[in-house]
Amino acid sequence: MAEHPCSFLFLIPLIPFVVGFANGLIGRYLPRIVPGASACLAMALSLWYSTRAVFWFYGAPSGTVALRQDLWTWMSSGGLDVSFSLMADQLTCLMIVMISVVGFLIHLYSLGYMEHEKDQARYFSQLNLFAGFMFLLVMATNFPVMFIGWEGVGACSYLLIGYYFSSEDKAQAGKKAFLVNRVGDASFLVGVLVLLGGLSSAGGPLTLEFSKIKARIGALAEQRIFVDLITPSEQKTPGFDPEDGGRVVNLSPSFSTPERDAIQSRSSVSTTTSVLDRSWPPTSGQAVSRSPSAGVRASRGVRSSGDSSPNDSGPFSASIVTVVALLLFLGATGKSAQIPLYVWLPDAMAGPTPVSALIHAATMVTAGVYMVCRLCFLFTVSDTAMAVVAWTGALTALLAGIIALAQRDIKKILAYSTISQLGFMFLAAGSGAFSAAIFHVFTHAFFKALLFLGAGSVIHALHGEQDIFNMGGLRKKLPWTYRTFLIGALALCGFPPLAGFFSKDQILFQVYSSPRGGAGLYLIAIFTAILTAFYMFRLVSLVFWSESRVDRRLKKTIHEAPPSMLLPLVILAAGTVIVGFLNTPGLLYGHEWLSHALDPVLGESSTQLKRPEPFLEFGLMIVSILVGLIGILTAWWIYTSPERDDTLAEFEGTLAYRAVLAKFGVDEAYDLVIVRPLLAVSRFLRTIVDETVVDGALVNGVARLIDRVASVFRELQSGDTQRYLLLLTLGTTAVIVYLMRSF
Amino acid sequence: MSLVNLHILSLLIFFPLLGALAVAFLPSSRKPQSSWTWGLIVSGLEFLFSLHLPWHSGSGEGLKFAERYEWIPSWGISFLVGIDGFSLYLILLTTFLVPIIFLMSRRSVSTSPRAFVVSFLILETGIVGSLASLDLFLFYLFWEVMLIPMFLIIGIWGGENKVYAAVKFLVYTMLGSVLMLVAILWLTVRHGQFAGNFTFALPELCNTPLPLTEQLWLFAAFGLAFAIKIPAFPFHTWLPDAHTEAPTGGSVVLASVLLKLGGYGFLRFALPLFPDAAQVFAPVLMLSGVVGILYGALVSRVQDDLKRLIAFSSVSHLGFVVLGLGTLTVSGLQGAVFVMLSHGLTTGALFLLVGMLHERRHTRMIDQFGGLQAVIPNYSLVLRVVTLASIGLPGLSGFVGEFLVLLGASQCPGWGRPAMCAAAIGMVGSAFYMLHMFQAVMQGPIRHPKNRALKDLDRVEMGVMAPILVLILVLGLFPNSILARLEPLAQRIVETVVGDKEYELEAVNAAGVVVSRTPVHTAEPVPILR
Amino acid sequence: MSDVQLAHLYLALSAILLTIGIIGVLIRRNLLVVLMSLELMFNASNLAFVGFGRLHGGPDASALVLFVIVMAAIEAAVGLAIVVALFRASGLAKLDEINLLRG
Repeated sequence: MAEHPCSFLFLIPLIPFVVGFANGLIGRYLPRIVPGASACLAMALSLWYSTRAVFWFYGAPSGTVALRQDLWTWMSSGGLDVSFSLMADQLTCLMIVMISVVGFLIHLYSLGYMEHEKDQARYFSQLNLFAGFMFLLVMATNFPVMFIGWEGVGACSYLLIGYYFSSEDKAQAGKKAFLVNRVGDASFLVGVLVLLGGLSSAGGPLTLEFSKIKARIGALAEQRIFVDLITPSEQKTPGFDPEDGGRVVNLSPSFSTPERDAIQSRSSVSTTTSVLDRSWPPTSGQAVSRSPSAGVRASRGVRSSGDSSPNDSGPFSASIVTVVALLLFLGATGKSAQIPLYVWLPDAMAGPTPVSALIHAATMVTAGVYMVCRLCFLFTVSDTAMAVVAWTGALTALLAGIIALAQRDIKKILAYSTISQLGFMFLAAGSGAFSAAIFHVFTHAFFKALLFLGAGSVIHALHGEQDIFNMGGLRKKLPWTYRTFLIGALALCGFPPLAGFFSKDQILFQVYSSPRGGAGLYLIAIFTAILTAFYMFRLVSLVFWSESRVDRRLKKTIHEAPPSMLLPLVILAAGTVIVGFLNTPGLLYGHEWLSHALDPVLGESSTQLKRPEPFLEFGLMIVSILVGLIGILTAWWIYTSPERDDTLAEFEGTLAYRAVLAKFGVDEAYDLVIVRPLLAVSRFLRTIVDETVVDGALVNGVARLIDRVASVFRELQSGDTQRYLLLLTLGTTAVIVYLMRSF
Repeated sequence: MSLVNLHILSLLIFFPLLGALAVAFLPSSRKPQSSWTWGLIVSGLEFLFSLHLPWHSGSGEGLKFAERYEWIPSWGISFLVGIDGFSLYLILLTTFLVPIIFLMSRRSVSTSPRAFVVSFLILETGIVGSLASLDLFLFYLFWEVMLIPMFLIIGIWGGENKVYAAVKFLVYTMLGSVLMLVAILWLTVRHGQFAGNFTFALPELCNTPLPLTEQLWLFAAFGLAFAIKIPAFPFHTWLPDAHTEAPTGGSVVLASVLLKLGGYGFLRFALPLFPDAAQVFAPVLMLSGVVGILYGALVSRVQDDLKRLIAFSSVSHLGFVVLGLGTLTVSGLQGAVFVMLSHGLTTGALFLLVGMLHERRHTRMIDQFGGLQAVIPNYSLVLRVVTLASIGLPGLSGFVGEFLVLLGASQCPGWGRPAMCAAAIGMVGSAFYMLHMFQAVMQGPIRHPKNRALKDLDRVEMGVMAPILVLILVLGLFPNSILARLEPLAQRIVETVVGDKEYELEAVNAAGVVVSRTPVHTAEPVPILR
Repeated sequence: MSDVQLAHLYLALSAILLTIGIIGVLIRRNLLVVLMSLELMFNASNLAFVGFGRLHGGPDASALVLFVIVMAAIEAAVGLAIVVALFRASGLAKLDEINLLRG
């Protein structure tokens, strides 16, 4: 009863795939409008089927965990069956709707943006293929199929970044993206295999299906294999047996009790198997063992101790799960551009701007966050892993925020901003606030795509200029672009009541209050928020508000973007305004619809506060608004008045500025430490080892040895008849003497 | 139909030989085209005949379509042939590629096309014969039959250093095979001592109870011959020269088919005949595989010659095969076979594509190209798909095999996990050199004016590449029909080697009659000869 | 010395001639001289046969001598033909210059 069959799920990725293939093969022979129009149509169809899937899901019989469609058996080997199946649960439904909506809008935008390009077929085909792979990623029911999507989006990203292939730099950027991603992908694969090994050593059939792994881990948790330190906590929920070690209740903070009961009763019916059967709330007196808590128990605030569980020996211990989680997370850092594998994203801006919007803001880079949330049951077993995720997210956010302060290219600023926001998402996930992370994914998709498309409009208007110091005063000339861009920027800074405010605020609150979060992480996050506001409005000031520094010749030709580009901007702006209201916090008398919707999927693993803390939450909200305002006003003050240009110029000479401008030399460091030595090793292997040693000394050496030995024997064939006769005589004499010896 | 069934393998083996004889005695008066036409007809028919095999083979584990004719009874040599999942797909790959090779070589081979066609047909006989033979003497015969035509192909129609490369190929490979011959004879003699009857038939030779030290030597001899062929790491240096100097068709058949015979030899002969030794040597195989993967990837990156780059990429990919063989797990063995199949397709395609470039520009040096994507977009598309398949993008054929090998490695106790990690790094490595190759050749600005006039793929070339691309996609998405057929075979090998079970092999002909089967041994091993 | 008959002296002469002949074949460079030394060896063997024939009696020795004479004649004819052909083809008559079959 857990999974309801749905017969059209396969169309969601298939339609973009088919149209993408067709465009790729024959698109260039068709009239110019066909590839673009067909691609948009494909995305529209996927959108249609995605929404239909959502309705199906909510219309399915109660108790349905997910829609599912099994297509065929992909691989089956030695006990492991991998089937090519698609599913749609709440999380997936959210993702596919987001991908289709944003994807469709960006396809529409591309029609206008790429109008002057000759090779549209290639662009649209690759964009569609990308969408297909992304759908596959989020709809996968098991690791290998997810990996198809995972690597596939990486490949399409490589193709699209390198779209302008005749420039060596741009082609190089694509290659770099793929290689860095590949490192992450290899790590992901190793993690999957280690997980499989761990599960098989713990007994039971081999499987890579998410739902089955979740059940297994739940069962193993039940057997206290991952037992962590359980400290009785003051945050126990009433209704629980106090003698029990105090299991953390996994509910998002909600304000009113009757609502919570409704939620609880709803989540109780949306469990997968009997092992996970949770009857909520446990009636008093009921022994806890009869209503086993599903999912995994989280430990309390033991961030610093790593694995303090007494049970981390044994075939499938928490330490193996830590290793798996870290490996998977390394894959996520590759895909979602976190430390240490973020270096490809700024370079990826070499691709066309809509590509940056779709792939590097809304979809592909969020795949890592999606993966961590999808596998929340795995990550929460291991404190170390959660801590690593949270701290990596925080530090990446900070680093990217700092670097963005000094960048001059409008797209690079947005790229670093994306890295920074992704850091926020991982920070949230690592702190246990998975639904907050997904909420931010959703809102970020809208406003970041909006910002990128707006930047594209600006670049389009200025015929390719990307340096913000050569812009300015565009407020009057590009009114619609300006307005939508401003909305996006405000959303990014967390300005109420735009979407970014709600999601960012929820993250900040969770980080501060969740047992896995903490004050340190919160401080980093709030400081990054200041930086975010500052650099965004530095951008806005320099591009739209300040006096125009645009080249005089360009000034005359600046015109607003065509409607095909403006319409998506407007829609996205509207989305940015509306989407936040999907998950308004209870504090403001909101309904928290999204968190609750995602609860069946993410809720068990979330370590979010159960007890509402209204003052804390409100206080933090005010702090974040203030912080945003400070950043905005400071940037406005500095960058809009020409008097401060001299101070700026002085400042630019300082070491700190130059270090930041040089991105702290990370790219160069990678090149020096990894790329060059690798090439040197390769050359060494080629010349010394292969040519000289193996081929030269061994193979050819043997040949030369034989040659030399043979030349010795060759002397016997001197061609001198008399020498032959001499030998003949001597030989005969010897034979005769030997035969006659007895005489 | 059943008459055909009964003799299908003999037909498949000897039909190209008859075709070669026919072509050889053609009156060569009029056009040279006639030899190509004949060659295409013969190889095309051969392919159609070979399609009969999967169609009618059904399921089950033994060797099918077996035929046995007594050849030299006093020495125990019989004409015993039969196939199962391991050989079936390789035979199909061979017969599929030979017509394609003829189509492509038509325009690049201008001297003595007749001799070329004859050589290739004899080569095809040798390959199919090796793949189908179950009699060790017969196998050796066909193994050697493969060498001479290949030698001629490289040595006559090759590049500048063709003679060096051809001789190197011949002598190196023959060194291994001669040792294998000694081992074959030793094995047969020992079996004769033990069982009383002297035979070269594989099913009957299995489970010959030999002490471990003897098995180690014999396995080493067989293993050396196959390792040279695969080519496994330290024995690989003949490959770059052979590939670079061979003509396009020669490179394709060498890379796609001949190399697979090494892996096949392990699976068919070395592992079942000497299970205890196999277990001892398994870590060595894994090490060689991992080193091959990484070494091949790194050296490939810094090559200046396109064909040499692809040759080293073969070393890297086939490292996965060796690794898979060394894991001695079901997934590992399945993965090894699948990597062989996939590599045959992708690397064959790569060599065909390089050949097309070579024909147009008469150079293979990477620095002579650049920016070609703008000039030949269709070619670029095909190259890109093949490149991504070679890298192992999931959804295309390369990934399945690599994944299964990694899976097998992760299940292997002891050295398995580190090997898996190192091999995963190899995945990054393959992207490293392949993307470099693609970028250097296809992207960037157009550096040489001659490149502006390059012609894109014409219909013949497109027609040749299209089925290969389709197969790559189909194998990537629907590998299970092949995997399912391989699984019981791999299972049997694993149980024998690791589990110490007896290896039971049964050769059944099309009428269901058993022509050869493994006898059940109960006696103690025979002590070492004095 | 009392047992030494005339026949033994023949044998001794035969041995000396054979040695001279062998040395001649091995050392002399001129082709014709080599042929002559070869003839000397044949004659030495003839002498040996005669000597042994006298020592042992019987007709065998004489018969063999006739064979050897015929052999010598044939060999001389063929050998001279070869020398002439070789000289005509290469212009060389010295044995150490004729080494086309050098390995």
